[in-house]
Amino acid sequence: MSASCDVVVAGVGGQGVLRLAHALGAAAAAAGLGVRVGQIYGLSQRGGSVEATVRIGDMRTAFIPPASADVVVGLEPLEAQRVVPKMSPRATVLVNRTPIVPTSLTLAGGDYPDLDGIVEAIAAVARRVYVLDATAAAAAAGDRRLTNTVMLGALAGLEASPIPTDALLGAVAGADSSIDVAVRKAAFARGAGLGRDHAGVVGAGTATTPAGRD
Amino acid sequence: MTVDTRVLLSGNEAIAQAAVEAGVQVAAGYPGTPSTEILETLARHGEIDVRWSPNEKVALDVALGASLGGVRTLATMKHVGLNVAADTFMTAAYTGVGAGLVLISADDPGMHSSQNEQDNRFYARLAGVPLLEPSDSLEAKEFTKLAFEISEEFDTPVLVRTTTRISHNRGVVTTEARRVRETLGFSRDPSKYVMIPAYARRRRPVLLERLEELTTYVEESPLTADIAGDSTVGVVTSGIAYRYVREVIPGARVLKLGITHPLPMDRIKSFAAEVDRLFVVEELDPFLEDALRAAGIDVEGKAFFPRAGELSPDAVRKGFAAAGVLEAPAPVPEPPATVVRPPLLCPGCPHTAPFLVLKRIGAVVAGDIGCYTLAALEPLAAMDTCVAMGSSIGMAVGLAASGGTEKPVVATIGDSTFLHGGIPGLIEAVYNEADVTVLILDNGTVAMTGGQEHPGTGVTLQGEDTRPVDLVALCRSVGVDDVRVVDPHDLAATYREIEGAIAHKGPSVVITNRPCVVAPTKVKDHPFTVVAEACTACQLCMTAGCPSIVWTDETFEGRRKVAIDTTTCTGCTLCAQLCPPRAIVLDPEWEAPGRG
Repeated sequence: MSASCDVVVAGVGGQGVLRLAHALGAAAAAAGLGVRVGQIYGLSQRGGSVEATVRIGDMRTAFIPPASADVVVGLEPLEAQRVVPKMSPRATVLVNRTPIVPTSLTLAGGDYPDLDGIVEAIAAVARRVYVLDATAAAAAAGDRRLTNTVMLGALAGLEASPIPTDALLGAVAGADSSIDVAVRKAAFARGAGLGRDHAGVVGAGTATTPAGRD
Repeated sequence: MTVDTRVLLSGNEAIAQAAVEAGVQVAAGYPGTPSTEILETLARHGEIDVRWSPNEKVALDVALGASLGGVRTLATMKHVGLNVAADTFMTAAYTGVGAGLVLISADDPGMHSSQNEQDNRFYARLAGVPLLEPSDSLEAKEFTKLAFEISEEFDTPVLVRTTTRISHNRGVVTTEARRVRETLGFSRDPSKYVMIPAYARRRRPVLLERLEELTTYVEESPLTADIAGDSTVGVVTSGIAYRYVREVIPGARVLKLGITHPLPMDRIKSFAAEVDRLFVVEELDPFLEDALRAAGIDVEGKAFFPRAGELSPDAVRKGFAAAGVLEAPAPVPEPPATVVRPPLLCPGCPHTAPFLVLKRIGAVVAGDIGCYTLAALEPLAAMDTCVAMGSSIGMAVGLAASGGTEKPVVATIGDSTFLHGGIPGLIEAVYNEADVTVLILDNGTVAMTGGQEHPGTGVTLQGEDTRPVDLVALCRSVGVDDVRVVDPHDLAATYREIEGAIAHKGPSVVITNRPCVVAPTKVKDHPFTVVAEACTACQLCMTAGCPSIVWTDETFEGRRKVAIDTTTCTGCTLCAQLCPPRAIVLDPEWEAPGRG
């Protein structure tokens, strides 16, 4: 694993996209790595699409060029698919399987797209796709709002970034949050377990193996 | 904030850190994306007097006063906020400062959260003050600290201009200890601080001489940096554009301007003479390019790089490709045809019902700046104008005066926006006897920018209790006879009060008084659920645009029935009030937290 790594975090406003990106960035900085975090907020709590970038290494900007993200963390399936143009052919993509139906779609009378189709669209570009039930894992850990922490744990479990796991856990524990630190750590541990144990990871409709071109 | 450590900071946090280190003792501003977190971060320091003011003009007045009182002072605002503060800003360039005074203008190219993308660098030229443009968090801290020194050395306010990507992106910054100088105290000097024409005429040449001295300073400043490279292409650039240039064309020779007003024109001319082709790469307007042209320098810029919207590495690459300097970039794959997901009013938002009512009444609605501007979009689609902070009331008065509509004219304005810029509009309505209704959507917070306190909330930025402005008494005191207060979660009462206020001849005010569901307290009340057998698929509840209401696969007479996501429903009751067959009921399976 090279020391440079471009990560895209995508999700829906309110899911904790920016908190997840900040935790990744803080962990990288704590581990002594160079890092830039790219994010825009303002409407991020109001249910719109939110995207953040974390560039680890000696980078001049926080912009990730097209087709070059090494890791994508999608907190919601459609939002993961939305950033397909950012994914490099070697990308590792983590997708939380719980959808959030866009109200614009509801009002137009449309239906949420099929999850398998979304995963296939991602797998056509990326090297590995891991589909996780992070929302359920967060609920099991004690708080649904910790979906982002579960995904961060999964990233650690998969060793998908150059950031050491203890630095990531340290960022979770040190975050400015109203949720009890023990619950946050539990959510991270559940995510790390999902990441480590491929049996717990379902991809592209199969039970045990990740999807992708690997 | 710790001492001498390496931390990951946003540009806004880095500016706050600079203020701490530079010994700032007073800071004032008004919330506005992308500037808001500067004062929020600074307020956590504890030792510094940090406050939200009612608007940017007042914030800059406070800052100028504090500076004349002899302490280092910071004022922060978004780009359009400087329009409000411009009256003070222009003449503060004449008075100069006591201790250092730095104004942060956080611009928003691309209009991520703004009504325009004006390029505030022109304000520095207009006022005749120095302008610094950092390119990342590290520079945001260093440049802001330097700005205080420049302010004191040259006796001038200093403008530091960031953009959204500088303000919000995070980078690694090394922090240092806070150093507070001894307070200078206020020195009376009417010829400098009382800008009657006789004194202002004397200050104008002082300002111009100061600019001459500043020009010499900028020529020699290390912030004017000549970065070695292949001289076939030379690029003059500043701010975030500098980073894009270095990423896209790392071999080019670059003149990086950290200070962009006044310009180091001698340095730029000698740079121009040493490169074969000279480009200016800058975001938004040709601020540098025009100045170079005026100085007789042959330069290329906006012919290749866009003037509208944000720059990006990709846009810079395309520009250099169009200029024949770089190979054309590989085509970027089209984004997948996924469903768009625009922002929405939250489940339970107290702004929803008033706009349902206004839509039903068919009023012409002059809107304002805030979350409720989202009511302009489907499905509420009940707003006709939105221009600037506080404009709704004056524009409603003008629409009524025009006689251009038979419909009732209503202004809608949030509590903080009303206190910021709406009060003079209301006085206009009283003074000139306008037949308009003003809806003050009082949700007890500045919701759009993340839930800040304001003069109506009774709490200061530093979390201390203070006397809240009484909106009812305020409206009555300026001469509005018909002032009503209603709970916007009571749909029938909201309809009744708005209808009654519209029927009143002359100006009337309806204040909706339900707090925001997100800030300061996240509201989660008993959620509702749909009794599927009772739902007649009339879909009336869908007109509220609530994100918690979704379709099911069940139908009634061919139309789809609905369901409610009880995890996101906040229990506002609005859909239940709308439901003709009363199919929407309290969720019997819900257990209140802590009571389960």
